Amino acid sequence: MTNLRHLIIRNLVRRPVRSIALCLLAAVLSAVILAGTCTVQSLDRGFQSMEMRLGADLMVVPYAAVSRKNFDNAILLGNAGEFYMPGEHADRIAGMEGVEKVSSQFCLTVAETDYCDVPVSLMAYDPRSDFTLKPWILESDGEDKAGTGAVIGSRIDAKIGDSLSFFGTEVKVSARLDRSDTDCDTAVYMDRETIQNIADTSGDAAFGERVRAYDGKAVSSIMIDVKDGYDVESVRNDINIHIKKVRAVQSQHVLTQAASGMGGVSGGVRTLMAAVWAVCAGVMAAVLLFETRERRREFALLRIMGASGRRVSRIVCGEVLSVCCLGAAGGTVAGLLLVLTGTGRIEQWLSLPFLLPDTAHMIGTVLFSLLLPVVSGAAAAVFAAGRISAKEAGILLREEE
Amino acid sequence: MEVRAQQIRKEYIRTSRDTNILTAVASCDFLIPAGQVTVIHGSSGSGKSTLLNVLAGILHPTEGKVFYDGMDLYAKRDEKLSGFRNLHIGYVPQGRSAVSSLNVLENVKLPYALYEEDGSSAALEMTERFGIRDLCEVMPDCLSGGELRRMAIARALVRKPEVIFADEPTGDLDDENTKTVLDSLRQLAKEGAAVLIVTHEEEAFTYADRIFSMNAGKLSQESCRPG
Repeated sequence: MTNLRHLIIRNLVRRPVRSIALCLLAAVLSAVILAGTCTVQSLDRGFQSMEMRLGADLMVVPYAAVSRKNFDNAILLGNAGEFYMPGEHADRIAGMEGVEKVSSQFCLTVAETDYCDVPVSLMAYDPRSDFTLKPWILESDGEDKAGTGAVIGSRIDAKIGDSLSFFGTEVKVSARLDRSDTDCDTAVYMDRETIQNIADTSGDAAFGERVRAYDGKAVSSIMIDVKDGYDVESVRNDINIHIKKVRAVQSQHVLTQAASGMGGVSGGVRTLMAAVWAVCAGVMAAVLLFETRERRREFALLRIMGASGRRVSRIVCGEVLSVCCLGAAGGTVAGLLLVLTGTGRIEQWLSLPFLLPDTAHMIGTVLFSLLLPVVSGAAAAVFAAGRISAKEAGILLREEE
Repeated sequence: MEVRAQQIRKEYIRTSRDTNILTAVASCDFLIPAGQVTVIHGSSGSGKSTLLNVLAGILHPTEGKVFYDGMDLYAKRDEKLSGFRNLHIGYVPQGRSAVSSLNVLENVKLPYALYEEDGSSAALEMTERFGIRDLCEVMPDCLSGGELRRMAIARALVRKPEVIFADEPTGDLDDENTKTVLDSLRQLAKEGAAVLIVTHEEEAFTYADRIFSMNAGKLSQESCRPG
């Protein structure tokens, strides 16, 4: 042992319980801060994504299809499911006062595939009238971004130009949607011609029947854009009154409810983070104060041997910072693993769109979760060291006696 | 190096309202000459350890000054005062005085390590001198009271300080080790060091050049070795 660094290491090794306890506190703080911040940011981002995706002012789906709760959920997650209403409703709605644009979608089937780890929704849509998918097209093979072929969600394992097999028929991927963390990510959208081609060449009777239904103008959902200057709620009421067995819902209403739910979850997570930080910082400060008090005689000896108050502070702070850095690093890794592997479960559990932060925000969050325990530990150490180094060695010895 | 205290007084405030003040050391002048062993004895609580701490630069006096060869000790800032203590003052505290996370050799060379210096050879020499060479790798919690005391003395002397303070240095030692320690202190005085011993042990008196007693904070000289 020839310097202060070695003394610090020896002190840590010789007091394993204290070292491990401080290390664990820092690790818990880091993991909670990282996971919590990521959750809050992911909810914010998911909500923004959903808000952008819901380019429609109103969405109309079959009334009997789903319960109120599942209905909102379906809108939030971007899929009304395998429920249908007459396609002529779309024409009637298009002719109603105040309606600017109408675009319908049809859920053909939900099927297991080789190119996605979860069941994929095969959706029929009309590229000419669509105004909700186009803003989400990330890349495509055509200038108009959505030609014939398949428009795939972000979780579908294929590239532009690849061929995907549907009921034995190969369909070329023409466009890919950006990630939204809704059911759109696991959907494949095709225009009428492509679907007709699959139905003609496949031998699947049930699929053929569905396609005939679509051809006969059955739809799963109708997206509506209301003209400027018209009250969205009035248009919604008109639809609900004049068109039977459907339900029109204001996207903003769903968003408001989702925002309220998200606000509750985010607030809860923020409170949890603040509580964990307060508890960890408080326990750290208490442990250090108690411990420096226990070690008064040792610090007095160091002062007697010629260690200045600053040197003694360096020893105390060095010990605390060493274990806090170690704990924060471990906690950050654990928090990252938790976030990266648990995203799906969190989304399922919360039933809210959940979109992980981008790389820059993620790096910022990781740095923050690394720094917070270290800064908290340093503050506690400086406080404890300040109290002990402010006292003269003679006073410390006298207190000890 | 000689140590001269000028009109030093030390009071402790015993309550937060400043109403109960204990005068541990009444105002006095005091000299620790270089090349001599000075002994202070007195009953428990008489203020002798407080006086020793004030003289050793680890406890500011309430009043008065302490000079080392004419230099005002407490005029120095903490960093400089600490460095001065490290280089020039050896201090043997009362009771157990080991850094528990370090072994015997590391404890002895700690005054060097605090300033990033390697004092291995000096530390080994000291362990040899005080009969703890075989215990170099042993941790302090495995040592007897006597062995701990010898380790503390070796550590205090490892930098060959010019001023040595020893608070009950032979308290836990048997006769043989008491003699070794007192002989060493006497030898250091012969080599020019100023040595102050605070003790109950009468045996230390025979090694003293000057003997003082303390009673209720008041210091008085009892005897002085002739010549």
